[in-house]
Amino acid sequence: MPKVTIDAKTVEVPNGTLVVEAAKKAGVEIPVFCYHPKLASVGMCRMCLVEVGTPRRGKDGQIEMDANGNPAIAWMPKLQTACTTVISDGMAVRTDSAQVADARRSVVEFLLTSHPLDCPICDKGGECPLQNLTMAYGPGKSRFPVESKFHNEKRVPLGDLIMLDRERCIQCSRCIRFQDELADDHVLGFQARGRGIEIVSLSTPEFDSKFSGNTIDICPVGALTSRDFRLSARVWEVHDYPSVCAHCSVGCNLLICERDHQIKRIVPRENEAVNAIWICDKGRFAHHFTTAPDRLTTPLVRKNGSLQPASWDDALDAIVAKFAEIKKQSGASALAGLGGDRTANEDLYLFQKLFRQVLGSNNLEHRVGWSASNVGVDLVRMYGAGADTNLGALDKSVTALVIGADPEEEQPVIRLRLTRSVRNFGLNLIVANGRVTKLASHAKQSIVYRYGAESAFLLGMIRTILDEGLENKEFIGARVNNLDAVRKSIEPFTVEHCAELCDVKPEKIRDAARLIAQSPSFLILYGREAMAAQQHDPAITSSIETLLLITGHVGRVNNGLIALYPHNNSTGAMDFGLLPTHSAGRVKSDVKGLSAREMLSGKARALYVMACDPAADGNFTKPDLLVVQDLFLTETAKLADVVLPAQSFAERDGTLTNTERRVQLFRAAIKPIGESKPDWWIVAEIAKRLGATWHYRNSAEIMDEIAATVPLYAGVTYAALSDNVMMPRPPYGQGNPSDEPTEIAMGELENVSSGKQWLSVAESDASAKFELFWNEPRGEGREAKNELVLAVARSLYDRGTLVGKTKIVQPRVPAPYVEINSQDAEQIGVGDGARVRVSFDSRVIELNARVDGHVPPGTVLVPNNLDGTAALPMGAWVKIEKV
Amino acid sequence: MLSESAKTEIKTLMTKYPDSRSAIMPALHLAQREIGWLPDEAIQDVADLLGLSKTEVNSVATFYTMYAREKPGAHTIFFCADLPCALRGAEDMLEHIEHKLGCKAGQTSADGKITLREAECLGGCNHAPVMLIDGVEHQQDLTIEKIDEILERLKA
Repeated sequence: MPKVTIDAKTVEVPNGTLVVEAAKKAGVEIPVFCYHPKLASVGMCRMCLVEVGTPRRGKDGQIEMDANGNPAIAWMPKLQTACTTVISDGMAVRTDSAQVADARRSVVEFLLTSHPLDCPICDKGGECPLQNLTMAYGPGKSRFPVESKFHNEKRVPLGDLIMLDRERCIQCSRCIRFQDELADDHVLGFQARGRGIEIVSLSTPEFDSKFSGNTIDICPVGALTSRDFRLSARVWEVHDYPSVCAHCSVGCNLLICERDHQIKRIVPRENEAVNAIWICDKGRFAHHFTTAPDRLTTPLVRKNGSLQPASWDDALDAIVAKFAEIKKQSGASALAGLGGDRTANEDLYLFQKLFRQVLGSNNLEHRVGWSASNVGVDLVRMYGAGADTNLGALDKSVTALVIGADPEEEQPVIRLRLTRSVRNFGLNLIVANGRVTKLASHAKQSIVYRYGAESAFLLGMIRTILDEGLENKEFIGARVNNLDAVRKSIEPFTVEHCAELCDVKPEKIRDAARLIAQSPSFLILYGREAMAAQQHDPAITSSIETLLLITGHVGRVNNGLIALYPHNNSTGAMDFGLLPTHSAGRVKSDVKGLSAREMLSGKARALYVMACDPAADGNFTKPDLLVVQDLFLTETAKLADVVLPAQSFAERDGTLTNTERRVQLFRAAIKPIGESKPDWWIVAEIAKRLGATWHYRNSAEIMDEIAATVPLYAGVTYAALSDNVMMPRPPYGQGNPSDEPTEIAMGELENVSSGKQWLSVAESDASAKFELFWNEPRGEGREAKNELVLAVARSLYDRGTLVGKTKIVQPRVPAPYVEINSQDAEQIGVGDGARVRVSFDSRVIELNARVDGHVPPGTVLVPNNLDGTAALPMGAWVKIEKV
Repeated sequence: MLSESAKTEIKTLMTKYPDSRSAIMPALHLAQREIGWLPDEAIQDVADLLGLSKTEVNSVATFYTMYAREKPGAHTIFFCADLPCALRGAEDMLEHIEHKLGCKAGQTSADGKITLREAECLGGCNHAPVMLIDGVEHQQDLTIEKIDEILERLKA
């Protein structure tokens, strides 16, 4: 590797490294404003000017030596920007010369010509690069008269979430570049030029991006501030607590900044393997549910028909007595537990332990509401992507197939990371879905199949690979059985036939298959839309498995399967057997328990509901005993006999397992609300009162038991999960904040990650043999009717319990709408924005039509988490009329 | 906002570049020629045609001085404010024009006839002072008398 000498320190760095990065390696700080390690260099601010020289060569081409026998350096006559200069072997850099110091002084002086110097009232003060670098490198005073300062607008709302101060902006364009390069929402730009230049957004709504909050973090001055946090605390007065996002399944690492027992703000915590330094706006702003005034604060027990506050003892005793009575009358099979996949692993583990070991019932489920289509329990256990697969750093040796997913709405930060992989590292991305999603714009191959024919598309690719002899013969020979039977079964499914079934051109199927088979690494990310189809079409499961196995793409980093689930702990719910078919550790159960549908239709006499709201979706029959444990008085809780107040993620410790199977630790940040208790404590109290000898003092002890009893979690301890947890500043009261790096997250830690992934069978057992299965794809007669097929999607900002409590994001929640193709819209006689009546089965809803080219003809799409759109059946036939 | 023929012309322009978005500047000129300036609707039309966001098109349209994002008068004068013209009395002449029109540089006269704007070098230093009228007509070796004549003609 090339050697570079920076201020007499020599380091070896890879070809292509920028001087500014090489300097970090040498332990030399080069100050920057516009440069950001996650963004392309532009060299705009000039703060990083340094002296650069290369070895002097004689006429013979040989490097000349100086008097001391060292290579003589030919210094460039002018200073160079360290953020755009790429190193070369033998290069010398001086950052400590008078010339460089003078340049830095001048740059700072110029940047401050019109800066208001209002640090005492600026949110950024205390973690502001401009403040820090001015103190370190600035001239101390300005030669420009105060009267010559430009005065610009100081409070310019840039959308609902962000406030722009035009005086503080130094035009570094980090925010614009973040939006263009990573968020891929081109909604910020410069306007005008010279001293009149300013940041504007002309989108409708303004600053229309799900990632806008990140521009606050990367703004090196106080120009962009959060309208939620604005002026509510000084950053050095808040306590930082490491946490993990409570919303989607990405599991973004967070810092909760607390003061006076209130969450003042949430910022990203750096974890290269999960979210790098980014989070979405939902994760950042939608935390107000934790302290919402309508949180449950005491247990409630139904007396004389209404729910009345009660003591914990009374509430728990009432539950236990009724559990025992029903068990005695109807047996353990009359007891059922429905646990939401929003609770921590410790809660889920004890919940299933209560039912399986204490009560003796296998009636456990988590699949209600949005999680109803959670499948792939065995697929993920067998073929889950190799550990340390980093979706933000997949290079051109990797092909990723994203099928039936819409990460922009459901796992936003995964969309962001895949975008970075495509743009910066050359990932080969194939996006396949029944409609065009945002991610598809980055895809090398974008495929739109007919909803319901996912398996035909997959079979077409398998057939191509087998026909063209592209399968991994070595891997199959050593580890895969039953290929011959599959070859025979697939005989009628020629590529042309599959193409016809799924309405994709045969060549597109072949191209995708070749790319996958010839790629050194291959990942499948499959999402909720594919999973919803999978419930009716087992051929999707067997095809995914076959595609991975015949190409040998399992058991290694950057290979295998990632199931994109809806909630922050969907994976945990499956890991701990909140399923009638599997027990903790994803072990198949001998006895099949009741399904969620059976539980809700009255087959269980006693139902214990933890952190989910099945009654909100309708079709709910109240059992003899209904216990609900939640943060709020949900629709289900209103019907309950006993309601127990649980704690939110901000009030307690726990672990969550993200959609990439990474177990991560979150810590309590604020005091409990009222008498609320952690879910695990409540479950343990019930177990104790039923006679169990459980003695858990805290959630860490539960994790120790999990690690000892559930092999997937072996070695997972709170201590191990605390390794590499990045805190940007010393704990409050310890050390002087100005002595330490104080920026939120700079993206300096390319190779550092925290959390622990459990290994799939394919990875942990190098000699495991695999069996191929064949399932007939679901044949479906699709006759041309005057009806359209309904695709059910999800909107990031929804009408759910959690988002609903944060006022600032409410304008981002869309009015309920239906997307229609322009051809269909013309036939119905409606245009963009028209009101339409959508009818299916026995339901009729009225929605706004969106005609924007995202759905193919014959398909309509409705997000099912907006006002009045709950519980829509994916794939149903619908009729649409003009209102 | 833009006529169908202008849209067709922009689509043709797009084929002349390896990356079709490079047609942004000629497309904006075309829009401005048709409408006289670049209102929001024109920016939106160009953005839609080129597959860019409105914000991106606005950045280009506001960076270059010869695009008008505000409705100009019937005629636009670019008056050179650079050194060679200043040495030949341009500063006094500009003041004279401002007085005559009753508006400052960057503004439009009250009757809506003439928009006066300062320009950087117009490339006619050997005939300083110079000004550019409506983007096509160069006037050079200016004197107060000559300017009065021109203003009379433009106001007529």
